[in-house]
Amino acid sequence: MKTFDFLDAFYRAKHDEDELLDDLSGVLSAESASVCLIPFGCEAESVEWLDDRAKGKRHAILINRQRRLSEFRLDYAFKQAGEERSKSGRFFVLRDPEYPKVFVALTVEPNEFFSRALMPFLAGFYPQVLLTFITHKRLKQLIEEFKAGGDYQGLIITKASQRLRWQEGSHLVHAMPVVSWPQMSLDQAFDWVHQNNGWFQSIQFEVKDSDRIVATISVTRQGIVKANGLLHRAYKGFTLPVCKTIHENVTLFSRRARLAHPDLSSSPLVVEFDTNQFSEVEENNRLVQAMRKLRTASVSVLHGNPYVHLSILDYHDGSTFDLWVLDERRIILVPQLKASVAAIKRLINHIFDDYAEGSLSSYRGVGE
Amino acid sequence: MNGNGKQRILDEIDNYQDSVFAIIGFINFYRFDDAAGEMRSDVVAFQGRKLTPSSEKAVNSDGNAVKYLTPDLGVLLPTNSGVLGEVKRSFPSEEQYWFDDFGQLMAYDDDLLGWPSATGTVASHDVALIVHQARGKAVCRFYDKHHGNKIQFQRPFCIVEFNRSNERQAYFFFRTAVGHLTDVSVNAKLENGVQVPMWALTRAYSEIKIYDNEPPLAYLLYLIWEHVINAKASENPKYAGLRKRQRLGVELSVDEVVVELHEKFSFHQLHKQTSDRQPKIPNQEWVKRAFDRLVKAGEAEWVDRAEGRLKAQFSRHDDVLAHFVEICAVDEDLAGQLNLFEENR
Repeated sequence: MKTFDFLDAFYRAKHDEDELLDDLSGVLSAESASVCLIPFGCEAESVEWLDDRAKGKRHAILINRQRRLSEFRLDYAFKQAGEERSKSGRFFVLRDPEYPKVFVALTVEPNEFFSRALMPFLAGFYPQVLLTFITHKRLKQLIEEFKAGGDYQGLIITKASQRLRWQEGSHLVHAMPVVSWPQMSLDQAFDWVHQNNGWFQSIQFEVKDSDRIVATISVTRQGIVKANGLLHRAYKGFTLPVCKTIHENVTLFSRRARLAHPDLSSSPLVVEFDTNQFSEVEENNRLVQAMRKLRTASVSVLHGNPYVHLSILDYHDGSTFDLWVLDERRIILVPQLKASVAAIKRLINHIFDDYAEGSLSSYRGVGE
Repeated sequence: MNGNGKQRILDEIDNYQDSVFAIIGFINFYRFDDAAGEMRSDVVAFQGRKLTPSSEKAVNSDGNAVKYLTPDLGVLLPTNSGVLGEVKRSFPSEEQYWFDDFGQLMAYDDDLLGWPSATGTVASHDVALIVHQARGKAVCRFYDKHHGNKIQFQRPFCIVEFNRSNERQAYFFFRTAVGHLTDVSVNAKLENGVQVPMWALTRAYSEIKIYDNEPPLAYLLYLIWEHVINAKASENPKYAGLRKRQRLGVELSVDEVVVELHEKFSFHQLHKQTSDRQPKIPNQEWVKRAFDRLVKAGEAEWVDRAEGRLKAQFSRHDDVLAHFVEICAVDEDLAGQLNLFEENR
């Protein structure tokens, strides 16, 4: 019996930016598939420049473009069982209606396309393409709001991967002891990870409504969402807020370099913690050790105790920073002459991933 | 390498930075308006400015002509009065040399020309010695002992001690130990002792890294490498893809380094309106010495030493400062061994 190929039909149809999510939802209801949504920031207000661009064995071709929506074909090659294989897949890029430098890549292709082709392709364009990160607290808040907004009976965590930061007497632990996620409430799961000084790399949950599982959704720390149902709700509940975060971060991280100011003045950022993070001197050493793990960078310690003063150089683009800890609650990050948005984001991301999460703001000194 | 050399260099860098922070802290007692909560625009501060001595003091006690004096800090107030100060993070261990330091301060006790005022002079000024608390008591005793004979000041003179706290909230502490300052408000603060939280001055600490005293060589090399050579290297399209042991040639000159560090990491921003008598910091000789050390380390070669042109071989270091401390520590340890050899001869 010949079955109807919904995906093929979907690709043959023309899509409109306002109806793309409806069209993708249609595919989900007919096929056993998931839609993957990857929010990212970009230096340009369009992604046309991705046309005919290659990264390694991945090559993109722009197929259609209309206003905020672009459709690409991505050809990729890989080795499997010693044999070179090549495949193709499609993805869309939708520009955010509010933030012109924020985009969402969407694909309904299988997981293999996501992990072998699309993600490495996009990540390969760093720093022109910037993914983001969402804090542990924010991720929990988004999931709670998603649950409350849909009035769902329950969200059951089915899978999660987490990273635990350095702890006294141990090395960085990446593996999780056996914890039975489905038996844990959201609060318990998030508290467990938080108390173990970690964060969720990704979390997958089933959405239950009237005892029926209506969707399985996963969200990563980078704000990447996979959903096999409730696409509109997932987009509204996770992707749009993450787009806003990207926009806010790009705005906050822009024009921080001293060279961006005629008087060469600095524009520091502050990472503020909820608690007296640095009440013990030993904490300085933990921060220094965590910062030394920053890859493709030089981390020089000008002072380690009782205050911390580091000089950081990012070898991706030559951005430089001073990092200070001068009281119990704050890290002050001073971008030097050159400090790109990508480098600032990478540095903050590293602090949050490898040391601790705090809230970000602009520094205000005395008389400012 | 025994590690003592490295520690000594790190201590020197720490002392150098403390001196910069102390200068910033002290001049801000005059610049910052507590009531308005902002910097005063009518107070002019300067560092390392060349002031001309009067004809009476144009020749020093050794009989040498004194062309200029360059105090560590100066403040010109709208009342056409001012303050000149010298920051001493450390003093020689033998007290006999302390007369040189006081001699320097006594030279400031003069009708100096070249103040950033309309006439180049002031009606009156104070002289201040800002000394680290570790040496404060001994220096005050020394001053008391010799005051009135070998040490004499006509103008108000005071010794202000400073210290960096070891508490979790880092601050610099300043307090008058001897004498007083003419400015009533600043004097009242310093008599009681003032804590200047370091977080409040983070921007200045990050923007100003050198003053008119030669920095430790390892520190200067780190500044040149990270903020001049790296900046130039990063303009090369090959920079981002550079592997760990790969090198990237970067041509630069002594003048270029002087201008870059002077404009971006000295007290230059304070002097934008009053730059006439401000020397360029770092001076060329310091940079040339740093270039020589890079060449000796095999990380650069002279294109033309006479013209001060160099080709550095930029490469990635995991810890730029530690790299140059290590290089300079070899010199320190070698010098130590030579001294021992000399002593044993």
